[in-house]
Amino acid sequence: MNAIAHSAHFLFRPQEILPELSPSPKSMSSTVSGTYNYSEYENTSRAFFAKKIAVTPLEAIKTRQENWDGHNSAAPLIHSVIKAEETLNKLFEASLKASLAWSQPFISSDEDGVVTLEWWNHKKKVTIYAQSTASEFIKVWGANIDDEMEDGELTDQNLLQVWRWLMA
Amino acid sequence: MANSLTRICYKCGAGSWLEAKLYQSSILEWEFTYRSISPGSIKDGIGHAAKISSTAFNDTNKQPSVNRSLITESPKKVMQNPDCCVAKIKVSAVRDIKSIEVTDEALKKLGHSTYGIDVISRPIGKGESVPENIAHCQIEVSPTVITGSRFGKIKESLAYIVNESKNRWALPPT
Repeated sequence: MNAIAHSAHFLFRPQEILPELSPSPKSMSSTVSGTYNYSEYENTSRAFFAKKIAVTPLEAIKTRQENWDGHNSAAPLIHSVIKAEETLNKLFEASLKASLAWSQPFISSDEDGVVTLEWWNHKKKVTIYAQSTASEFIKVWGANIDDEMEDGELTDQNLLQVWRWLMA
Repeated sequence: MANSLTRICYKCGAGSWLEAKLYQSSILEWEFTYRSISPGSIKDGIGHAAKISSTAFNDTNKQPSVNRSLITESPKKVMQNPDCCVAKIKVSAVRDIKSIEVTDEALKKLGHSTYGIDVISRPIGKGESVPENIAHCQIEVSPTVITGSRFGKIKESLAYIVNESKNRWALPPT
């Protein structure tokens, strides 16, 4: 699936922003002897979207102060913000490569200042805790902690698996 | 607020006789509690359709504070900040989060196999660092030593309960 076909799934719709970013595939075709060469186009757009998706909502969270929620929660840790950005980039890249839908996370932070990324899909939910060392995930499909939740460390190996579960 | 373990005695003048009796009693299954929720923990959306994040139950002591609706004058009294919203949580739903397996080896050696969860009345008396509040309760876990990931799941469970409830807002986001 090419980048244009993918665009229906994105919150940031490529057709709305891409003309400013890079030449359209049609104009690119004239430079590659009548054959569409999407590699440069895709790489640029991927980088653009990944950056856009990661940075825009995270910028807002950087301005949070201690006790932002009235429950004495710590201000977001800078290491955690960096980790969250890295995790978002990886997840976005992985979902794009696997032709899976993408949706924007809800970004917040916990009592210790760890940045949280949350997604809902009907009754299913995934929360990622961007710990400074390693990110952790919780999959939720009910209120029962032992039978309807699963947690673990988010690795490059299981990243896509977690995303597939949410989007299925 | 979560630090306070002080119980008010009605003999020293805090609250009415009925209020005193209420906070001395255990909290009933059918009661509701209020939780102040910051806009930073509410997924975009206004009105009754808005969803809450698990961060709505952040608590540094891993004992999220709530207020008994029965003896709270108005949900507005619960708001931590003027832009906060107030969610309603049924006590029985919180108590239904039970049999949470203990994974901590030290606790297992002490004979604990599961955590229990309950809404406990923890009134705040006069002269403390936070305003007096006889309706103050805490969602507490026993045994009290709980790891970050276990508490994370409890917060997820609480958020799930609220989000699945049709009548989840006492003061919805506007």
